Amino acid sequence: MDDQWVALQGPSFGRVRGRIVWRDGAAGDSASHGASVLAGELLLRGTRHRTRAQLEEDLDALHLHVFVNVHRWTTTVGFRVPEANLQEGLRLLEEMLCSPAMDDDELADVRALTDLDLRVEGATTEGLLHHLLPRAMYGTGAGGRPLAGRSRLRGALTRDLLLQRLERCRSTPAVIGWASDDPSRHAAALRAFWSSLRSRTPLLRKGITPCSGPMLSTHRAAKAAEGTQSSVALLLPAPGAQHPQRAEVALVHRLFSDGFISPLVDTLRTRLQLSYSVRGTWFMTQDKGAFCWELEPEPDRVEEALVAAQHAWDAFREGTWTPSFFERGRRAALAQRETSLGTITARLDAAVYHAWRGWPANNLALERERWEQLREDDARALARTLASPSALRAVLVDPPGTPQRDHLAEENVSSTRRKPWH
Amino acid sequence: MTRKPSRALGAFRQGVLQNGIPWSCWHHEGDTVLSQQVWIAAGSAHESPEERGVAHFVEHLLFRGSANCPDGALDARAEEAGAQINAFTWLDYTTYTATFAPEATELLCALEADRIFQPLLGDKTAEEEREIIAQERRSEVESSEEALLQEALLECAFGTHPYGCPTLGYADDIARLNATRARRWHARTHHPSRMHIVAAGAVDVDAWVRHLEQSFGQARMGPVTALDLPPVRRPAGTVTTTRRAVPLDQLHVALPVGDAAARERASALTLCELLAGAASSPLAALLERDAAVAQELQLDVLETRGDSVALLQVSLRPGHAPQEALRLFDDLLSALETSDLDAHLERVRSRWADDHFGSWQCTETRATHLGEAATLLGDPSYALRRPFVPEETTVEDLRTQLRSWRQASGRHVVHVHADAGAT
Repeated sequence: MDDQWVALQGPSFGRVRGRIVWRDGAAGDSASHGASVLAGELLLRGTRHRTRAQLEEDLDALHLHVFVNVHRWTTTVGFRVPEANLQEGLRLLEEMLCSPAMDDDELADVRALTDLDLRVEGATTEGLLHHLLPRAMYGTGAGGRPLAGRSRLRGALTRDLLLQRLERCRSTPAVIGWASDDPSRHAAALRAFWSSLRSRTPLLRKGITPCSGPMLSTHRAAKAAEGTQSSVALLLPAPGAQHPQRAEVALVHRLFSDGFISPLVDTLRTRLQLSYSVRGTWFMTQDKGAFCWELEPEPDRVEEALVAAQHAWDAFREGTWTPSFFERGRRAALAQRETSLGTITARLDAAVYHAWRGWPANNLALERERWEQLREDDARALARTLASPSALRAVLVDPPGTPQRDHLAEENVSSTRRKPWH
Repeated sequence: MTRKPSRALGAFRQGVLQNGIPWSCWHHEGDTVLSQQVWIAAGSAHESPEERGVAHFVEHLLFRGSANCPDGALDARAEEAGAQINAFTWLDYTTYTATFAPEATELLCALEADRIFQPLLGDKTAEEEREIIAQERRSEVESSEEALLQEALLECAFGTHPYGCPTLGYADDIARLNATRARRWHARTHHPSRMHIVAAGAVDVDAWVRHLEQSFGQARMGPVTALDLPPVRRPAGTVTTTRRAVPLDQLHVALPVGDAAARERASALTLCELLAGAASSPLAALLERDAAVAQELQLDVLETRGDSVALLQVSLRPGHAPQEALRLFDDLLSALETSDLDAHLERVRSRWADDHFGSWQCTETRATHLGEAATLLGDPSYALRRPFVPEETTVEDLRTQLRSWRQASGRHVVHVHADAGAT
């Protein structure tokens, strides 16, 4: 597998934006120690030639903004720099990526801060929900681990281990994208930077493939220390990224869960006032996926919200929509997609993501075409093939003081018990 | 000497509709969408105590049906046109926003004018929306100790002035909201004389203004009642120590800034950037790196039309108390006051401009800058000069600001101790 290149032109006010996405992430760690996340943090904490303070000064002087995001299946390094500082900025970025200090004191500090961040995140219902979701979706394998690992194992991480981990990540294939007012003017600098980086870290192996499918076998419930509202994620098994009708499924899921005219938002927010916030996301691995609908109802209306969401999906899946709903929804989806790609950063992120998925370079246009061509009857038939409401599973985090929900507690509801909230 | 915006930043134009509503726009080649925003110079600070929460309530109700668009149809028609519509209410203003492709301009002008001038404000929808706002308060404020602390800090900083009250209102205020109050507020505030319409991005200016004339330009100006906003009489500084169900100890400080249009504002914005705008900035470097007392740090100016405040929020690492962070902050201000500030200022000027150019790829950000400048400063073109704000300040201005931030008489401090039992 070769590296892939993406270049985009758009209004950038004299700035060059870049993204490098490696096909390796936290799921590629050898154990649940969060090595890739900590290594990513340490990239910003000094190099072998500059202390942390010097590096921060130099980044500031060049107006070079760098971020590192380690996700389950990817490691992304993003940057923004004024055109005039591009060459020097790329030299500094290469030094950060290839010669990080990974100083022991900084490692101890990052470890302590990671513990604190998790403590802060785990105090709120929403934060705790997001902590519990991966296991509910990806099971007990590498995909289901907490990104930053477990505290005890983090404690055993050493500088050498982190350097090895970073080197392994750098050796995986990557997608490199950049955007500017005139990207062709910056191609040579970007290619020279990448070629120099690759010469120090040759392409050794295939990247990890996100293929561990969703588990969704039990409900999970927990209680947070802060808050007055419950946070709920409803999960439904869904197709994966390689599904032949991926574009059509995306449209159908969007019709159900996105925008004020969608049945999910209309029912839960507008008509029943069960939740101010209603969000739908389609998480996907290569072969499987999960639709995830997040709500924040009051604790004593959780069951009502679950039933309402279940009924809304049931009716939608049975195709009880009108032809005009379908046409309006499709028009909205098509037009809103263009609006959401209205910034150069959004277009860059989308292009890089599609390349990372291995989808064709013109995938955005292809998807658009398939949305335009989808007939209503076919959409109805497709909806019926999606999982039924009986497969819905809930991850629920209640605020303090909420009575125990025994029938939703972790491991208390087996996968064979259907429709537990009926 | 303030730099003039260069042509590369785009073209600015402004004008007035036939009925007197001012407009301004910022066109830039290469954008694919435009953001249009209607700014109304009436916000929660203009409410009487009995009306608290009504400005935000009306903003919600304007999504719930108008003369030519029954309940639900506005979202549907806007979404079908690919528009992302939203709104926000703040102390000094209410803003209705839409981002869309240029071909939807006529439709969006018509939809926005219809909902702003002819909303239904029905009893049933008012009841439903009141419940949604109650949910919003529970989700966004009462579920977050941080949000509750910020409310408490603003109460301290502004005392009984309306700037000290939350825009959403308290739970009791929300429970009292109804359609009658909404109608009264709408009639009083959503008046053409209080509006300024802005657009940024892929704007065909002539076509846009033509559509504005056909929609907003048809509203009659009519008589208007003045909105009172009492002058801010800042209460004497306070120090409060409290115990809350937060995971980490925290320090919250409200610092005096001064009038929105005045020089103090520029120096306060510059000083915030100088102290904490980057990882290498003195305050960030001291608290997060060198002394390692902070888990997270934020320092921003909360800009209002009257007196503004700067808010410092520090989450502390275990073993460090809020009082220690405050002492370090004061020592740093003191050291900076007597230091050579020229180099700091030069760096801040350069970074501030870079950050603005970096964020301007987003049409919504540019439109917001136009609207804020028009509403808070009375000059929308100031938005294009915003990257050069630190050039309006001098080293002496910074020293004055540093001195005022060190004086206990002008600032409000909240020391928060984590309630271990709660976490």
